[in-house]
Amino acid sequence: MYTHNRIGAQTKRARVGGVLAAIALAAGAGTVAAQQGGAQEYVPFDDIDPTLGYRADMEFSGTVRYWKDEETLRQYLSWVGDPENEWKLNYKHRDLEYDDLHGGHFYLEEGEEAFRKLSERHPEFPRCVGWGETDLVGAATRYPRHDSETNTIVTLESRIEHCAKAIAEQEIPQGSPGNTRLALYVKSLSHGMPINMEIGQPELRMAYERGKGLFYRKVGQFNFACATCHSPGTPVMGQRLRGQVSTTPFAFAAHFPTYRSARGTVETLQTRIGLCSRQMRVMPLRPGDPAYVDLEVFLTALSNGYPIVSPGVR
Amino acid sequence: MYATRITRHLMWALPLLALCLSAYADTPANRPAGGPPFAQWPCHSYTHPCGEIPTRPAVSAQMPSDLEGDPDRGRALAHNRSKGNCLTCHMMQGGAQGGTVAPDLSQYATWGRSTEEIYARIHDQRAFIAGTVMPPFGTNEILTEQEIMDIVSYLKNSR
Ligand code: HEC
Ligand code: HEC
Repeated sequence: MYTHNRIGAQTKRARVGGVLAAIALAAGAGTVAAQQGGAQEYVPFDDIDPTLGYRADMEFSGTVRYWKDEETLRQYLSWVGDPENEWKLNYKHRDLEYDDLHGGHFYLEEGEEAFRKLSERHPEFPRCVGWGETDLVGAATRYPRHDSETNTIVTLESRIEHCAKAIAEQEIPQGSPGNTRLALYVKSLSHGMPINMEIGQPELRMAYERGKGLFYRKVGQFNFACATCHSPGTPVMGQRLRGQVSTTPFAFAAHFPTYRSARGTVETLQTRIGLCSRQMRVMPLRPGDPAYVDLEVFLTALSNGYPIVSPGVR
Repeated sequence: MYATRITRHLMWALPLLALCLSAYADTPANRPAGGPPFAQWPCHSYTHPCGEIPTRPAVSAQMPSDLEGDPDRGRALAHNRSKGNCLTCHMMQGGAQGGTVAPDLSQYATWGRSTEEIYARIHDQRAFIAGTVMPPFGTNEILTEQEIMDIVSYLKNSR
């Protein structure tokens, strides 16, 4: 079960002390010597306790008090459309539209159908996606997870790709519409259940630290970090960028794969990171790239404990 | 019923799309040798060489003495999303929907900054404020010297 335990956090911190110390150094100096002699710039790190999950936002942006649950969201619905305040809802008011019919429901139906067909022909397929369990209710809450056999970090999308290949001898690469539809269906089986990635697991914790490093590192032609727009430590978060206001990065993972009404497609967390990288003029990486897996682990840790909304819409 | 609901969703998300595509400048210059876009800038990869590219250090730029700025071209450049895109963060004269991230530059000519200083700040604001969120437009070749001169002249005329 997910618990928030500050004493536990201290010991875990000590265990990954090496990584943390290196990163803290980077934050302190503002730059860190890269392996090949140059310097890389960072946005100063925020002191986030990842064992707190989305609740850590209380000491971060504090906006979690407005979007922490459905009842609270409904109290602040009058903020929708008000640029000064809407961003404080973290756009979670859109999650209330889960019951409304939107494009995500079409994809979900297709995903369910595809999943059923695959499972009929290959009864081992669901067990593979469920990590040994055939009941997939709740399965999505545990991803990304560490696979000790291959010593890799596995996201729901990469697991589906792996299982399709290993069991059905089918290529369903992550990032493809076929993979995303299946992932959407599996995720929807956990609708309403809190995300429960095992952040205490050492390899996941290391991936979290690496992902954090990437999130705060300035990259691209514009010299932006993700944190430039998504950290309250900079002047950008909560301010208007033309018509848009960026929000706290907490609980981002809850609604992915999400239906993007503007694009008319369902996108995964990693396709979204790739799209926004272009906006930052940074070379986008392929879904499943180890750097994006680390970013996904970082963002999922910041979503731990928050209920999944699937099919989500933005 | 179905259709109106879908339309409502469409309307809501249009600005989001605009943001994501606005600054997308996947131009030939940003695609060296037909490779992936923006590969010449620092990136997140652990394996591609761009993951090792260091940030370009801050530069205190000298204003080129042989160039004249044009305020009208400067206004167009500053407002253009794929060029200066200054409006993302600043309010500026004649610009709609300016950002609230950074100081309002609508009357910047009254601030008493010298032409040389304005040039140097647009070229690389990090030389004045370390850790600024403002992109180093000159150092990172987002704007040419001539384009920066045009914007300086637009700002010098904003009163
Ligand atoms: C120039 C500012 C900017 C930068 C830099 C930026 N973002 Fe965003 N991002 C936004 C805005 C604005 C939105 C839409 C509003 C929101 O949900 O915050 C957004 C949305 C997102 C979303 C979707 C949130 C949701 O709930 O649907 C994710 C995920 C995200 N960003 C991750 C990242 C990551 C990872 C990076 C770094 C690779 C990054 N962003 C860099 C401005 C930015
Ligand atoms: C990502 C946000 C962002 C963008 C885009 C941006 N700026 Fe800025 N700018 C800032 C911030 C923030 C400051 C305030 C000082 C600081 O923190 O660096 C600033 C400061 C300035 C100043 C110095 C004001 C002074 O103190 O005299 C000038 C001049 C300026 N910007 C011009 C521009 C121009 C011209 C453009 C477009 C080519 C632009 N900025 C684009 C964020 C931005």
